[in-house]
Amino acid sequence: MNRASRSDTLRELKERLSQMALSRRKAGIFSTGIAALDWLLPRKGLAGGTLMEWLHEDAGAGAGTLALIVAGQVLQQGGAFVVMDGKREFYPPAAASLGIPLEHTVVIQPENTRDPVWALEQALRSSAVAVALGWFGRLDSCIFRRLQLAAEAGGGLGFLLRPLACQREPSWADARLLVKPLPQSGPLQSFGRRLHVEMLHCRGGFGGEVVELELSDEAGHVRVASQLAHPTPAKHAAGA
Amino acid sequence: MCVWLLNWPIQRLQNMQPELRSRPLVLYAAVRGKMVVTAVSQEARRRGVVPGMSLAEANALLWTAERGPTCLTPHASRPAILPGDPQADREALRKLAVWCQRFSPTVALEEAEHPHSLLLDMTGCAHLFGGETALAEQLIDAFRRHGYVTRAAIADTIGAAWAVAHYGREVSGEWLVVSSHYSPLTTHHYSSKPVVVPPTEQAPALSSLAVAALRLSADVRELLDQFDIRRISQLLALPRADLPSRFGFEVMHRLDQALGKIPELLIPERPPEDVETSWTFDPPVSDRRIIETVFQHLLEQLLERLRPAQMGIQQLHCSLRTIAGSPIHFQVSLLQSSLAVQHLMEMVRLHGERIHVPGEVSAVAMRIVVAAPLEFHQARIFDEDPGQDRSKQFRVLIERLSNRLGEKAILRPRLRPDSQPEFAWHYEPWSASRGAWGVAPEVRNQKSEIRDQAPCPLTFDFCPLTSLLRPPLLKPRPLIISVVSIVPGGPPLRFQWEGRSYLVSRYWGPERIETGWWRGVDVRRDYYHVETSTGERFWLFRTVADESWFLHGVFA
Repeated sequence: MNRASRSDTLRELKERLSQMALSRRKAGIFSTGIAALDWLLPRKGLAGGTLMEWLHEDAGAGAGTLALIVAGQVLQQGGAFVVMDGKREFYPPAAASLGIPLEHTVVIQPENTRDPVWALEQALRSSAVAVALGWFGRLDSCIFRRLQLAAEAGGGLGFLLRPLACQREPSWADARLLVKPLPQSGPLQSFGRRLHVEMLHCRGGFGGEVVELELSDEAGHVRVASQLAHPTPAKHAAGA
Repeated sequence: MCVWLLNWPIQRLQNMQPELRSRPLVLYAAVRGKMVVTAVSQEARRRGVVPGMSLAEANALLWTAERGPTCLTPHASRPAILPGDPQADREALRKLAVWCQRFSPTVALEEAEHPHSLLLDMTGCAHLFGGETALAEQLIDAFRRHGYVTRAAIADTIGAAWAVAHYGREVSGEWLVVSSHYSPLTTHHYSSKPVVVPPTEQAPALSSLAVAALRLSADVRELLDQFDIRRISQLLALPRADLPSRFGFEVMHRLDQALGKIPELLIPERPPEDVETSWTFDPPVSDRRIIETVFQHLLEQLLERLRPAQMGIQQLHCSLRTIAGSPIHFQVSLLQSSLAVQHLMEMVRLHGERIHVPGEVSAVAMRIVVAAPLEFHQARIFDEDPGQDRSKQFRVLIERLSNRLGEKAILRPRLRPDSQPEFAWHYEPWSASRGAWGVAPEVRNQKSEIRDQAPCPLTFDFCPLTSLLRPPLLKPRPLIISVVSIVPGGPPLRFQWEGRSYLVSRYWGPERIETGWWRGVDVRRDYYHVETSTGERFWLFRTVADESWFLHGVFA
């Protein structure tokens, strides 16, 4: 089999697989509101009824901010926003300034460690919820799978913010992004910041793509800082 | 005795939300597909809005009366345009009727589609209060202390009391018509004195009043108007035998009721009864499945008793008596009353999962704490309304979460205009707002003409911050940290937190926040937005008084 026909077959199989997966889901594709981030995702947007992992190395890395901006964009289409706030640290005024509609926001402050997962599963299973977001550490594979099935049933999106240490754990999320801050020099004049976003793994794609985003403080505006050349893993996989 | 609560829907809302008193208030409802004004406050009436007007017209009147551009109008005097809620009006009046039982055992709501008056049978009660007038005065006084404006009249018949309360005024022994036409009275006609019609003098008291005082339907009133019959005396002058054939039986019936020729029944309001049921196990059991089945059986019994009254359960108290320890109690709360066994049992099960039952259970009991009328929505045949379906699903989710995790764990954030970061918002349980779904964007577009003028008076929507100015994560309490800075009172250079040392490469600040003296603790802080050498961002502050450093937020 020559190279061209092999890659054609591969592409065809990939499309058929993704269509089979899509047909099981009720919801469509949501844009993240950031063209560069949409480009990273295999279906050029967030597929409803899936989970997404946002990994970050350190607490102040900016993954939460980016996730909230994306959630705010998705919520423009309606639906409720659920936040799992076990540590009682979620700060609504900041979320509102990032575009989260507080009149549709449910903040859940569970008292023990088992309840957040249960509550997240319930929220994902409800068709009223557009985005459910929570900070989680280790997740049992079984529980992870249940969350994914709940999201599939409800048609909403689940954003899991997790430390980088969880990278080695198996994942049922459709996409796993790593967010790293990019230190800059010079005086801090505006609150804008640069983030390095890497697709570590995604269903229906190969991962490894990188994009650098610049968050500006004018109403949560995000733009691409600079786009790097396509990294090698994608080329390898394509049989180059 | 008849007690009329003037402009009841407006009074009720103004009493519930005192900030509405200073604002022109207009209530509306959909009548035959048109938005029509149903009630207006004094303020709004002064601007020319009257009930029966279309909402668009009222809007125009209210907003053109404003001087200057809208944004300059102080929030406190902006018109409030809200949808009317006749069900809530009736419920509140019913509660007042039960409360009025301290004056008489028989208190009823007037017979009308939208009742605004209470009727009290004073037979045998007046002497306990020092006479009929004294009783009425005490009642008016009690209402006034609770913030209600009322007008009371005492007469031998319900009809006469109602007529005089609404339309009559006695001036130097003569009965005068306060309003010669149908328009209701205004506040300045009210006094704390009740109007008393002496026994057997209904006819002279009524004769000068407008025919509307007979509680006639709008059609009949219009018909009488066409014949130029405006006063009851004109009706009384007509041959009695002709009345039914010319104007229908209603006129005759109401006239006879007012004059006491035929009796009129009062159906007194009763305080809601406790509905309770229990089951004793012999011998005691420990199997959860059995207990659950019994709970379901008890629930079905309770629902059977509610069904005829078209009521549903809103709060349910369950208790288990155990052999080993003290009894276990839990309460199931719903946002909307329900009669669905499956749904209620699911909520009971959610509680059951959380409780630990030591040993065997000897008895279980269930009691309805709050029962409320069921709400019905007309279903659509062709297209499902996605907004309505979503809000229903949302309510179910809130009920499920609140019952399992507790109402205080399921919160709705609301912003507050406070510059101290930890007071810039507050939480309230979602169950308190009965899971009322905020206006969805699609609905907002449809009702754009109402949107701007009808903000919910309790929501406070403002967002003064530019994005990224405040951290998405704020520590519940500022954490004390050790910081090195080059000069005393200068910016931070290096700090330690959770065992790690951070080097500050860039910073923004200080942002001085000086506030809170009225809370007893004066707050003076210099906030710094810092970026570390690894690119992480934190929100630190130094107290001006003792120069100690705290970490308050993380730009996660």
